[in-house]
Amino acid sequence: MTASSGSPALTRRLCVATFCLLAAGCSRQEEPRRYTEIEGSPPAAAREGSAVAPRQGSAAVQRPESSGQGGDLHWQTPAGWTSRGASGMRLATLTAADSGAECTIVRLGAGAGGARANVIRWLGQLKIDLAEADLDTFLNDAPPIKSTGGFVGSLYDFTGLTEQGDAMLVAMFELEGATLFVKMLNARDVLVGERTRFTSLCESLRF
Amino acid sequence: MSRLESFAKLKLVRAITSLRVTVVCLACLMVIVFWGTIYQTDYGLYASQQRFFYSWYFLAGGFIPLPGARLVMWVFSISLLGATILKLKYRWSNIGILMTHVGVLSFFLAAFITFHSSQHSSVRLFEGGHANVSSDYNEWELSIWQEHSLDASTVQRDVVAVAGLKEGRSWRLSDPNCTVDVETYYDHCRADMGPRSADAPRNAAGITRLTKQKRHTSPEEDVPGGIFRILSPGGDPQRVLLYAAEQVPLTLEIGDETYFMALRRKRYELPFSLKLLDFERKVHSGTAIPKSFKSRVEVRHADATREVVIWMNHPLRYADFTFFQSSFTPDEQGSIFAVVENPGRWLPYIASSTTCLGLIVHFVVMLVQSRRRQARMA
Repeated sequence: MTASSGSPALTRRLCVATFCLLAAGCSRQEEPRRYTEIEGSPPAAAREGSAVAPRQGSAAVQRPESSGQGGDLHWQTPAGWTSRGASGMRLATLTAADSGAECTIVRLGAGAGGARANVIRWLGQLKIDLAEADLDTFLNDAPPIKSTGGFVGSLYDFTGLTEQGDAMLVAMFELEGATLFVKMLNARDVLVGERTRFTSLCESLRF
Repeated sequence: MSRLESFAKLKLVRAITSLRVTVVCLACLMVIVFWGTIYQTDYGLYASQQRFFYSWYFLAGGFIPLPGARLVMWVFSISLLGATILKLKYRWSNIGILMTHVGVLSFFLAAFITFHSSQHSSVRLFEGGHANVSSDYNEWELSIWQEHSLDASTVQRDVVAVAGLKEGRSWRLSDPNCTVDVETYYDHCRADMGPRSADAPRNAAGITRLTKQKRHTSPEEDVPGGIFRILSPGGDPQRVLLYAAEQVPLTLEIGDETYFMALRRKRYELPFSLKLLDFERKVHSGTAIPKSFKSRVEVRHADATREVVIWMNHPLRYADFTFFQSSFTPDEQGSIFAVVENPGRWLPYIASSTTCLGLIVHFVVMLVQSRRRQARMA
């Protein structure tokens, strides 16, 4: 066989091989996968345990829900959060293991300046300009929140006021002669993800 | 003339197997590696890999197409393979050169296997906790599962997951018996809460709207979200909104059963379970800068267990898996491991050894031949 006579056939074969390689590389819709996931919680926390919820980010063992206490106040630490106890004016600092977002519980005397003044201060902290009318709407539309201990308050969700950057979730409870603040400051996307746990913490507060 | 010889004489084959191709490919790889390394400092490892190393070509200055490492390596390996088969003279004096060629080709084979088969993921554990899955850094899946407790601290989830989420895609599942349609999917989006309208999709956290955002240079930072339609026989269609940053799954009724559903990073089942026994972190005196951190883990496979300490540059190797001490959780109470599964992880060692040995053999052969020539001349 000469080189010239073999050439077209070889070229055809090379073309077919190239096409097969390219076709193999094309993206196809993946088939559903099945797998069994077994996760074990840390034993110390598990003693007080409850259901294990999934975490986003990395496959991991979730810290289960547990009881917390600061002074005469009690709460359920949400699954995936850890409590670092009291420090300074804080009754507790809770940390979300995934994001590192901190949630603080603080009790101040009497009205603590009132909701409006505090919201204006927090807006300043977040560098959010809000017109007077919008501020009124924000205050009036704040959803009420009630805890198992009978605390009644409002939830101020600043995630809707900012496109990106930091935001805040604050629950303010009016207690007898005191105001209880549950506050979380972090990137807005983080707070959107943690909102369910934040509200569950607030709803678990009791004496 | 044999068939192989006639093939070797084809113009195209002669051009491809030319030494010039090797030199040009080496020069290209040198430039790509240098450029990619510089690019990495500003744009991150992922962007650099995608642009320079995993691509067939890339655009310099936005309009000049230049070959990517993938194309160069394919050309290089075809050229080298062709030269080895068609040009190399198979005699004992060339054994070193043949070994060197085989060694270099093994590098390409290692690169091919690593590119197509390796998986990079991570595992996060708290002390006393264990897991048998790792999760991807960049890929996401829609997971539907039922869970039950194995004991007071261990939960088992039987998961069905679909990945490669794109608008318009649809999957038929047998258990749960339903169809999952992707109505809307954003690779990166922001979520907003607001008043719920009657036709708003269900969401566990009260999210009512997703807005598409520009993707990050590093896809690890992206937070995807989407609206999915679940259709089960005899049931009403259910529209659900899932946002990847949500920490609590959505509860879903399909048929008579209750399932959980979440958009989460793609999980990979490990062939064993990993338990974190102890995590130790040391900081430089008077600072918060980590000095060292190490993890004592227990590897459990079937009924056998063994303890291993993982720390910087001392990974755990098990079958095709390598576990590196990567980081720790923000609350500093848990350890994070980078997991690499690479079926071809031994190939680079074999390739290096073969190449080195080939060069040594070739040097010895040359030395012996040179001595013989000198002896003849004398």
